[in-house]
Amino acid sequence: MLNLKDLEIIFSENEVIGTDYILYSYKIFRQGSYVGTCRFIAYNNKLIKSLCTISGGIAFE
Amino acid sequence: MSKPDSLPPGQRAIPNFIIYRILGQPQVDLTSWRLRVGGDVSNPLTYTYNELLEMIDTSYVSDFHCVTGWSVRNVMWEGVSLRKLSMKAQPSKDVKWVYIVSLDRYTTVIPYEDFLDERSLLALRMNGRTLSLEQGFPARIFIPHLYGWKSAKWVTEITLTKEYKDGYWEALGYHHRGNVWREERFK
Repeated sequence: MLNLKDLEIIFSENEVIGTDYILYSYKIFRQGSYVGTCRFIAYNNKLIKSLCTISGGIAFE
Repeated sequence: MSKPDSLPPGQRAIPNFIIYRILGQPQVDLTSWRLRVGGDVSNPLTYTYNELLEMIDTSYVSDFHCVTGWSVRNVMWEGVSLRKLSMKAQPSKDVKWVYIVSLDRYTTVIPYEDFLDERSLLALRMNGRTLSLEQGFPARIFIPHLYGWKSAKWVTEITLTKEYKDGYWEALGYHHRGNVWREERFK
């Protein structure tokens, strides 16, 4: 089971889209093992959308 | 030269930094990390992170300009004056260049006169917070009037020298100075 408190979130990369949007990508680890990737879209530094892709076989608590 | 209300030619403002780590993300161990200031000096010095924190003497708000054409406006910078670090090392009168080496082995070269500018900074904090790892923790250079490739992250060696030597991007054709208001992007 995946407990959010156990996760390590590591900045991966970001890129600008036009002049106002930035796409951020973070890699998620648990006890050193890769769990998945979360992507966030910010409009003028305000979060507007997020998408997390989690490896198969992992369940949330 | 500085025009605080306008962007330099060829730049557009974006909301936040785009993170570049051309040589990868170095791991930082503060117990072994040191900043060394040496070269053509009579008093080479080595600093720990805590010693640098106690030396913070400069803070201001300034824009950051990347040579690829984006700028981030109104960034709060805090750190140690590069002029002060230089003077403590007692440089030779013949020093003309400053060669920077980072933990990831990234290098760049800065004209000494720009390094001595009153706003040139060894930045330890940005926007009121300790530098993040991707922004160059524990210490990075920041010189407001030079393009960002001169603002090396994860700095570990500052060498004051008489001799010019290309850094990473300078060897690939980027300008020896990189003044944003003169659009000194390439040699």
